[in-house]
This record gives sequence, C-alpha cells and structure tokens, in this order.
Amino acid sequence: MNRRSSFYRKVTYGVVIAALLFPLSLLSAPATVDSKGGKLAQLRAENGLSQAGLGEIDPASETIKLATLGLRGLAVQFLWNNANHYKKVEDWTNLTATLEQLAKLQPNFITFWKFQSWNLSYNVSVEFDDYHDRYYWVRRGIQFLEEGLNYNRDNPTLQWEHGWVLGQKIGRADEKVQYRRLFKTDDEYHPVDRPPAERDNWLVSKKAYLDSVRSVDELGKSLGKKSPAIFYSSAPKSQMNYAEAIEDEGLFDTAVAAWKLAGQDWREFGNIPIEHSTGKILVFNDEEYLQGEVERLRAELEGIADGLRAEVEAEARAQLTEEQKVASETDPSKLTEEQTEAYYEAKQILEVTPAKLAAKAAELAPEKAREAKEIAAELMEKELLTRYIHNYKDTTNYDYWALRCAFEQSKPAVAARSLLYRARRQFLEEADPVAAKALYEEAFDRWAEVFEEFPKLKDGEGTTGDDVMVFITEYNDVLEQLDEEVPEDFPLWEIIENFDSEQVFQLQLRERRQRLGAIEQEDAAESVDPSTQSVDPEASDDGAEQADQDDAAEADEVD
Amino acid sequence: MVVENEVLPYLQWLWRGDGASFVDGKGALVQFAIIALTIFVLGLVGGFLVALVRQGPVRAGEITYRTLVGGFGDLFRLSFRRIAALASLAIKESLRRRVWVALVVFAMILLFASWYLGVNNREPARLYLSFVTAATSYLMLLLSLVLAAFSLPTDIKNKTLYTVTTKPVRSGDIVLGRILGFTVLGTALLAIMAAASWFFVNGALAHTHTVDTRSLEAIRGADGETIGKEGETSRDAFHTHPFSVDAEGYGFTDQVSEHSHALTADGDAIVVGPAEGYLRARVPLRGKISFLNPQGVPVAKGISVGNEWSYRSFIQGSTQAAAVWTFDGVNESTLMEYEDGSKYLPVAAIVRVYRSYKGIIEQAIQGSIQLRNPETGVKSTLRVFPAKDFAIDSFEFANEQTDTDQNDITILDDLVTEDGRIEVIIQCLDRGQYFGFAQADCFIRLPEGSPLWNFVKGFLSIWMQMVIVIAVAVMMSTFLSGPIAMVTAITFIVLGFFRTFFLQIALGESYGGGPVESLVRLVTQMNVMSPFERTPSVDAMKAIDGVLKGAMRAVSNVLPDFSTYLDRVRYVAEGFSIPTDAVLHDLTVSLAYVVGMAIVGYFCLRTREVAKS
Amino acid sequence: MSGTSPGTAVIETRALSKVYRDFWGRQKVRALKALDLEVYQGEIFGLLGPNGSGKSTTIKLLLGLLFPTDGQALVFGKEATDVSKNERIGYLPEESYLYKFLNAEETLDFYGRLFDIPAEVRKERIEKLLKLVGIDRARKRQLREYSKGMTRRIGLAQALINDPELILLDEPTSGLDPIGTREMKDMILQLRDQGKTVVMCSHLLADVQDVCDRIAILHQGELKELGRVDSLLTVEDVTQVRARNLSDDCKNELRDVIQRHGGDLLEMDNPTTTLEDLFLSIVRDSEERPGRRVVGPQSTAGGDTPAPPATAN
Repeated sequence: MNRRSSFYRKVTYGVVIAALLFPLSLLSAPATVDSKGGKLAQLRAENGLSQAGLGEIDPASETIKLATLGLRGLAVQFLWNNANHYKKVEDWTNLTATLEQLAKLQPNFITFWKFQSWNLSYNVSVEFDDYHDRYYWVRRGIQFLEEGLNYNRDNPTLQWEHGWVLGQKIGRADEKVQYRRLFKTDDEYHPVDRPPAERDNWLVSKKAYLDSVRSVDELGKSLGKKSPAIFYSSAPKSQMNYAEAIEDEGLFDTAVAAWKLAGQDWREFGNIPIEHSTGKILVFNDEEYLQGEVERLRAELEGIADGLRAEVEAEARAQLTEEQKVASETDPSKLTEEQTEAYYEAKQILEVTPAKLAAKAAELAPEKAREAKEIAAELMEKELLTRYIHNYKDTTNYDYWALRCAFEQSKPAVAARSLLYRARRQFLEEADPVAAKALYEEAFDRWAEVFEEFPKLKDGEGTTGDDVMVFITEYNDVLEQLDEEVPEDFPLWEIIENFDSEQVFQLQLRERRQRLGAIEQEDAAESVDPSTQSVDPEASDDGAEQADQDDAAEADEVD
Repeated sequence: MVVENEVLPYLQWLWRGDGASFVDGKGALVQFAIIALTIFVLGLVGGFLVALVRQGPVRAGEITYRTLVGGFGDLFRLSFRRIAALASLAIKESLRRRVWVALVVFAMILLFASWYLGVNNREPARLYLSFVTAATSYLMLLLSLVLAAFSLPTDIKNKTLYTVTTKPVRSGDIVLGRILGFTVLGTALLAIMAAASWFFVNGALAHTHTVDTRSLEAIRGADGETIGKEGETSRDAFHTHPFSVDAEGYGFTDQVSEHSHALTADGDAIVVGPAEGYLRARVPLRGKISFLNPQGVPVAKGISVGNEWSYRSFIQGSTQAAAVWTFDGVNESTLMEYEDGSKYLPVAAIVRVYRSYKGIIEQAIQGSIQLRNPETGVKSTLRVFPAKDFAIDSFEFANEQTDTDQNDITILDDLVTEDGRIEVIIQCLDRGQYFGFAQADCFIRLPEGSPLWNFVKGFLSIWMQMVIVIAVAVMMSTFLSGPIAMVTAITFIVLGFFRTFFLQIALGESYGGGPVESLVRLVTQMNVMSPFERTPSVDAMKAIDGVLKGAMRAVSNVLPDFSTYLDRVRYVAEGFSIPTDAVLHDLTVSLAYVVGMAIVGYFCLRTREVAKS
Repeated sequence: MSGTSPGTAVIETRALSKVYRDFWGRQKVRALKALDLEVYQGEIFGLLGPNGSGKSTTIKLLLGLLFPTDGQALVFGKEATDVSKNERIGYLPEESYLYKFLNAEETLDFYGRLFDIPAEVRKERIEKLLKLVGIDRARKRQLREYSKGMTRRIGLAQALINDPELILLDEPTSGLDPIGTREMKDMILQLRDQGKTVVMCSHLLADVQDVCDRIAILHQGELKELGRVDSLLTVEDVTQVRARNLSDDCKNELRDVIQRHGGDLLEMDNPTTTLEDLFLSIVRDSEERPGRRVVGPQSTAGGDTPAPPATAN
C-alpha cells in the first residue's frame, strides 16, 4: 500500500517535470543556422544579451571570473583601487598589468575600456618627457581599446572612441608632428597588409569611425547618448583633418584629392537622415529646399485672402498695451530692464504666425477656411523642420565645412597653401627672410583671391580666418626681422581686423586707422568683440585633464 | 626605485628606532616589550574575569594563579623530541591532505601566465618577477593558512587530540610542533616554487635576435677608414636593438627593455648572444637629500608641482635651486676601477622631468651634476647632461677632476672629507622647467650583488610572511573552530596588508570618520566631507567610534605589516639588492611573531578543555 | 608498579562534579554529581553504566581532558590536570582516536616519542607490543585499512607504549568478535598480573563481570553501586544448590524439603544471577526514584571494599 502510493507520487513528479520541461524546451531552444531558436534565444539575440554576440569569449577571462568564486565585484574593486594607486605612484608596469587583469574580469564593461584607455593615452603618456615614450603610451592606450573591441565586437561607443583617440590624440597633440611621424613608421602597430599611404592616423581614425557607423546603421546597435549629428560627422571630419594635416606636410596634390573626397563625404553626411531629439528626422541638405517651401507656402497662405497679412498685423498692433508699444518702437539696444519684457511680449504679439493667418483667413473668407488651415499646418511643420536643421547644422558647423572643402580644392587656395609652405621653409630652414617675404606676399594675394571667391569665409564662424591669421603672424615675424611693418597695400587687412585675437597687431591696426583718418571710430573698433572669435579648443588639446571625453568631443566638433 | 620607507640600520632599529636614544622608546625592543606586557596583562585580567563569572572569586583566583605558575613552569618542560614528533605528524597529515596539489596549481599558473604576461612590456623582468613573487606569496599564504587553521580543530573534532593529550605532551609542544611542521613543509614547497620561478623567469625572458644585414652600415673614422659597423637587430620579443660593433665585429647592443646582447663575429656574420642584464641586484650606497631653494637657501623640500603623490619634490631650472645628496662612508674602496687601472666614482641618478611649458619637444631638458666637498666647499666642474626621464642614468666621475677654478683635484683627496663624506649636487639648467627628486633617486653604485642570491632573499621575505601566517593561524586554531580560525586569520592578514589604512582610521586621519560613522555615511549616501549636525544620536555614534578606534589602535599594534614584505619583494622586481638590514629586521619581527603567537597559543590551548565538544 | 605498594589508592576522586555549560556559561547538563571513588593499586576496576551515565566524563576528568567543575580528581596523588602524571598512564580511547594515515609502526613510534622515549627503547617496545597485541603482520598497513578489532589492538598497544602503571580502557571490547573479546580480557588480566592497575569502563556487562575485581555503577551522573563483583552478585536470599550425581528421587526429595520449609525452589540446575539482572534492577530503580541512592546491604560486604557510600556525606 505504502509502496504503491510512493510509486504514484514518483510518477506524478515525473509527469510534472516532463510537463514543465516541454514549454521550457520550446522557450529556450538555442538558435541554429536554420532556425531562430526559442523565445529566450530570440530575446537574447534581439537585445544583444548573449556573450557570444558581444565578441570574443576568452577562456582565460572566464576562468578568472570563475576563480573569484562569486567575489568578482570585490576583486574588481580591489584592482581598480590598485590601478589608481599604481597610477598615483607612477608604477606604469604594474598599472598595465593590473589593467590586463581587470580586462579579464570585466571584459564587457564598456566604461572600463573607455576610461582606462583614455588614462593610458592621455594621462600616462604626458608623464613622460621623451616624445617616443609619450607616443608609446598613446599607442598602448589605442591598443588597449582595440583589445576591448575584440571582446566587444561592433560596439559603436568603443569604435567611435577608437577613432577619436587615433585622430585627436595623435593628430592634435602638441607633439602631433612627431606622433604622426612615429605612427606612420610604426610597424608594430599597423597590420602588415596596410599600405604605407594608409598609415595615417586620420585615415585609420576615419576607418574606425566608419566601423562605428556601420555598427549602428547595419547592425542596429544603439548610439547611446552620443549626438547623432556629431557621430555621423566624425568620419568625414577625419577625412578633412587628414587633408589639412598633409597640406601642412606639403603634400598638396594628395591634399586636393583628399579635400575632394572630404567634400563628397560631407555631402553624403548631409544626406543622412538624423534623428532629432524630438524624434523628427532631419536631412541637412534639405534645408534649402525646405526654405523654398516655407516661402512658397507662406505666400500661398497670405494670398488666400486680400490684405490678410496687413489685417493680422493691424489687429496685433491694436492689442498692444501702451508700454509694449513704446518698447516695440525703441531700439533694442537702448531698452531699459523693465522694457525688455514688454519688448519681447510685443514682439510675440506682433509676430505673424501661420496660425494667426489661418484664423484670420477663416474670418475673411470662410469658404477657404479649411484650405488655409491645411496650408498653415504644413507651413508650421516645415518651419519647425527648418529651424531644427538649422540648429543641428550649427552644432557641426556644416555650412562652413562644406565651404571649406570647396575652397580648399580651388586653384588659388592650393597655390596659396603651397606658397605659404615654401615661404615658411624659406624662413625657418633656409633663414632667408627676403625670399620668404616675397613668397608670403604672393601667397596672401592668392588668399585674397580665395576670399573674393568665397566671401563667406570672412564670417567669424569658421576657422579659416584664424588659420590665415597664423600665417599673417608668421609673415609679421619675417617682417620684423627685416625691420618692416605690414604694408598699407596688404590685401588682408580685413582679416587682421576681425581675427587678431592674440592682439599682436593692435598697435599696427591703430596706426593704420589713424592713417585712414578713422579716429572717430576708434572706440567701436578698439576692442574686437570676443564673442565673434571662435576659440579653438583643439589647439590646446593636451589632456592631462580628465575632462569628460564626450564633452570635449562635442566642444571640438562645434567650431 | 621608489623607497618610501627608509630602512634603518638593524641595531639602530632595535635599540632606538628613529628616536635619539633608547629612552625615547622608539626602538623595536621597547615596542616588543610594551606589546608583550600589554598582552600579558590583558590575558591575565581577561582570564581572571572569565573564571570569575564561571567559578566565583576564590576559585577564579586559584585558577589564574595555577595557570600562571604551572603555565610558565611547563614552558620550560618542552621537549624537542615531542615537538619533532608532532611536527612530523603535521607534515604527514598535510601530505595526506595532498598539499602537493599546490605545486600543481603553481605549475598551472606558470604555464598559463606565459600566455598573458607577454614580453610586450618595457620592463619585462620586473613584470615577470612581480608576477611570480605575487603568485607564490598568495598561494603560499593561502595554503599555509588552510593547513594551519584546520589542523588542530580537525584533530579536536576527530578526537585524535585526546589520545595525544593523554601523553605527557605540553600544550606548548602541540603549538610549536604545528608551527614547526607547517613551516618545514611550507619551506620545502616554497623552495620548489622558488626554483621553478627562477627557471620560469629566466626561460621566459631568454631570447636572442639575428642581425638584419640590410641595416648594417659602416662607421668611418676621421680618415675615412672603416672602424666598425652599426645596425639594428631583428625584431624579436617585441623589440629591436640598435648596435655598433668594432672592425672585428665584436660589441654590445644598445640597452632596450632593460637588457642588451653581446655581439660576436662569426666569419663575416655577426652573432647576437643571449639577453643580459634583465636580472640585477644593484647595491646602492644611499645618501641623505637636502634641497636649495631658487635663492640658494637650504630648505627641507623642493617645490610641489601639484602631484597627488608627494614622494618627489621639484627644483626650478636656471635658478640656484638644487638637490644635494650627502653620502657617508666614501673611501678608496668605493671607487671602481676602469680596465686601465684608473678609478672612478660611479653615481647613478633618476631625474623626473616636469615641463611647465612644452619647449622644444624633441630636445631633452638639460641638467648639471657636480661633486662637492661638504667641508671645504670645493666643487668639481659642472657636468651637463640631458635628463632621461624615469630611467636610471649613470655618471662616472673619474678620480682626477678639475675644480671650478680649473685646478686639478682628485675626488679622494679633495672632494671627500676626512670622515668619508661627499656631496652630489644636481640642478636643472632650463628656465621654467623642473627636475623632481626623492632621496632614493641618487646613489653611489657599489659592486652589484648576485641576482640569484637577491632572488633567494626575495623568497625569504615570502617565507617570513608564511611563517607569520602559520603562527597566527595555529594560534587562532587553539581556541576557534577551523573555519572560524581561518576567517579570523584571513582578517588578520588582510588587515595586515592594509595596516596603514587601518591605522589611519584608528587615528582618525582618514576621511569619513570611524567605523560606525562611515557605515552611516555609506548607508545614507552622505558625502565624506559634510559634517554631521549635533544630535544625541550623532554624539552616541562618535562615542562608539571613539571606543572602536581605541580598540583598533590596540589591534594595529599587533598587526603584522605585510606591506613591508611586499615592499621587499619589489626590490627584487626592480633589480635592487634587498638590504641586509631589512632582512635582519624582518627576521626579527617574524621571530617575535612566532614566539608571541606560540606563547599565546600555548596558554589558549592549556586553558581549553580538549574533550569538550 | 614499583612506586605504589598494593592497597594504596592510585585514583582518588573527591566530590568530583562536572557541569557542561553552553557558550554563555548557562548550565546544560550535570554530567557528574559529587563522585567519590578510589581505585587501588593492582586491581581491575570497572565503571559501569548506560550511555550518558557519566562514566566517559569520569575517565576524561581523570585524564585531564576535561576540567572538573567542582571537587578533585587525583591520579597518583596529583591533580588530573597535571600533565606529568601522563608519564605513568596508558589510555585506550573509546573509538581508537588514532591518526588513520599512519601505519601501526609509525603510530607506536609517534606515541613513543611523545613520551620522550629514546630511540632504541622505543624500537624494542614497539616490537614487543606488536607481537603482544598480535598485529605484527599488519605493521606496515595504514590504520585506515584496519578492521575494528585490529584498531582496538593497536589502540591497546599505544596505551602500553610507556609501560604504564595505570591503564584506562574505554570500552575495550566493543566491536570485537568473541575470540577477540576473550583475548582482550586475557590481556587485561595479564596486565593485572603484572601488577598494573586497570580502570575500564564498559556497558558490556559480561566483560566487566569476567575481569573486574571491583565495579562502580553510574547512572545519570550518580554513583549507584560500588563494590566487589563477587559480593555484589551474591544474592543473599537465594541459595544455590549445586551437586553431582543426584538421582531423580533425590531431586524430588530436595524439592519436598524446600517446600516443607516454606522455601521456593527457583531453579534447580542454573547457577547464580547475572550482573545484567543487577544492573537492570538498579537502572529501573533509579529511574523510578531518581536521585535516591540504592545501597544494598551486600554492597559493603566485601573484605577490603572501601568507600563509604556517597550519600554519607
């Protein structure tokens, strides 16, 4: 009896187990070549949860993780502390060894790779005095990141970071001349099959950026918190930096081709649909078309009824209080503090919005009310898009760089650059200021042509003005050696006036103005408004500072 | 290398420490005595109190008296034969528990280590040595901990100890027998590991190169005749060496990654020899550092350039600021001899460079070094050198020098004082740039010791750690059950590794307050800097912390400072000979632990009812 | 055996008590209550009692493995906690608490060293003892491979390694087969014949009855009975008749005679009562009236039996 009941119990257990196993087997079937597997496998693949999906699985890493007996967190904490300590006491050998151990313990922790590779490339490298040593540590940092990429295949954050360090650290540091030279000849770093022409840090960086773009576009990985505008602009920007760098090195033919490619890349970037933070999709190159549309629609809306716009304006004006009226008619720069508010209120009231137009149109011509409403809606939508695109373009300085790509390919620009290059060599290496002066002057004539052809370059938005200013300063040095001053017929006085942020030419400018009899304007012109000056953060990019990289990155991309 | 804690001469350490005389009480002997006395009193009072609670005052007094008298009497009835028997039992027991598995584990570690260590490092010897010593010490500490902590409790649990204690065995025999047994066993294992490590390190570092014949270029003399060749070796083990050889094809490669190779000619070919100089045992004669400020006034420290680590302080370039080392005991035998018989003073220095502006990137900052007689003030002429950041730079001063007035002088006669003192002065020459120094950064090189012997000394420090751990664990196991004894011993050891930090908390020098306060801050996620508002509960918290801190201070007095041993091993890794004073110092401390722990363990076991389950 | 003359007390306990306490010092068990006992030179003394009666505690107290809560335990006139008394003691633990990873020779050598016996003497004794206990052939085998019987034998051998004057045997025959038991008993008797004092505790009554001169019966930590085995087992109101060559008539006649005198014929052909009966009756009695001391009139009957009953205090 007893035995029988125990037998039944066992049978029941068996049945229950089998019953539970059945859905489990359906849920958790592993993915195979010809099937997507069970629900769990699918979820895992969808969310990128499986380790195999992340990248290389290292048996050593797994062993070490197991060997910590569940105390991985503690071990990691201990090692991070050690790493910080070793960094503090300048024990680089043990620092790298500790980082290797950490890498085994938390290979899929992205921040670890990001932070510690940055540490090596930026913070450890500057501790050394010999630039060879510095370069060695910059490269260690890069290689560390590459190790991280092995464990975290197709991780856009790391890939982008990789591009950043390769580009900015090597190509923008104070030691960029030496770094770039060492990088080109670094047989240890480059894969054997990378041709010498491609062993340029900016090109390698561009490749890394493109990898991260591919991970996002083709593999659907998440960008994280990175701004898409900056993310997508990075690769073409590397191409431009490449062109710029080889120009400095005197490779003008290659540079023109590089600028051409950069121009293409930039245009393509302009065609990429970018998601605005509100979820709207923006395409940079659509701005012009959209602006046209806005104008067209506005005209159409205003044309729905005669005198529609005038009517709206009149009505708005009537709404104004006395105070607002006074404020709205005052020169904005002479507003008192109380008036400011009134002024903006007035402006808001006076603004002729599509909604107001549509409402008025419905009043004036009720039969067209529906049409007016539709047009107004479309107009508003397009206005909004235009504004978003404009803002986003601003963050990447899209228009300037487009212009830059264009003018750098122009004959006068290439001639100017090549002349400058020669002038500089003439002065610094041949110590021949007279010849240098002649070359400089010829070059500035070319530059004048460039500015004539691309007048927008004179705006304060780009870096070209500052670039040229560097040359003018060099030219000034040459002149000083010859005991001369910038001549009256110098073609780029305008540039000096707008871009002399270091105020080297303060005195010369004042003298010139006096000569021109423009003394009465002295007050206004004496101080160049600093807000129009773009201070280039890249120039002083030598980060012993542990600044947030992303901030730095964005700051850089903005100019 | 970095020497943050100066090693005092042994007798000085023992007698007066860093105090002026014995009476200051900074000597190790006084410290030992204080600790011994404290433990004695604590044990006595504690034992009495326990007995008082259990047995009442009269009996408690009697028990305490008897334990004391009988206990100390029995201490002198130890028998070596019994201790040896118990020791060999401990060894046999350990062997039964398959301690040799530790060797297998160690072999595995070495085997797999070579996958991950790689030679792709600028100081491979240091990395390898650090690795083997760390692996060995962690493994040995763990092993001896487990063996020692579980042995006695297992004996009690299996009741095998009953049989033993019914023989005329003193508790001291049992405790000492264990300590001795595990020490002997551990020594054997450690010796095997040391030998394996030695071969592993040498094997892993061994490599050679071939000569890339395409890179060979002739060196021509003034008259255009070939006086040698220069070139580069092949890339092996992640590096190449530039080299130059004489006309016959003999020479040395440049030092890369801390080693070089000898080159010999074989017909027309040049053959690269094995790597040399990876393992070193530099013996430095260390001096005392002092600084001059930019106005040339002596100051205790140089300028801080804002490093978190205040080990080095800096001198400003192109001013009168200087770092001055005074060396003691320099005489004729300190000088080394060139092949031609002339003598020189070998000075080595590490210069840390701090640039306040980048200057010319490809150019090193210039420094100057000169010798001075501290009494007469005679100085040798300024010798200018380009600063090699981080590396040990060698300066050989020939005995024949000229002074700053261009008079011929010799080091021994004019620069060294009667009592054997000499000064080395280093300055930075570039305006606005800085050199950083610590005391250990400049030394006179004495003849190097044997790397193998230094390696042995390094393992000796591991051995000493092991002995302390065994003694502590055995002591713990006399009154605690196995797992508890182990956990307690581990705690003891971990605290020993972080003794400095522990002491900081005890002395209230660390941020975040005492244990309870930090717990409160941790749980409430409160910033370590923000002060508490005064409330009764905060006062209570501080009061409890006060008591705990007092207890921690007391505990820290008996905590072994394991970081010292780590520090010793670092000497080996960095290619410096471990000073004999340090070895003696460590041996004395270890001995004190063994004796202390054995006595405490003896009393614990003696007062324990073995058969009480 | 030379130190003490026959008749002197080798072991003496005075109001020996043991209370087991828990970690906090709270009383858990009173394992032994005011035991007074004396064991004399040259006798075999048996401690008898059911499990948990306190006999093991007594032995452990005598060996110094436990410390008395109250009272005194003296061995050779010294406190039991004094280690030096161990020189003259041999102890066979209950289960052989020996190191299983040693072989017989090593075991004896190890314990010999603990007595600080010089090497040659040790060697000689080991040889002798291995032969005595009959495990000479298994001397090189590790103890883990030993049978229960062999373990007892090696246990006895180690107890004798120092040629002790006093031997404490904890359950010496447990786990032995009948022949083994017999041999063990013979050895015990042999030891007594050599003038050694033997204290054994056991719950195997037959063994105790066979070899012990005197016994003490413990129950629930209290001494229930103490005396010579022969006198304890003499049932005074029972007459045992043993005769040879009796005819049936004679037997019938005897029955009649007994009946006539108002006697009860219990049994004609079986001998005395057994220790088992005595033991069981004591235990039953003790459980019915806990704490009451059963002192039969026969307990003090023996000539040199000592010991005023414990309740006399």
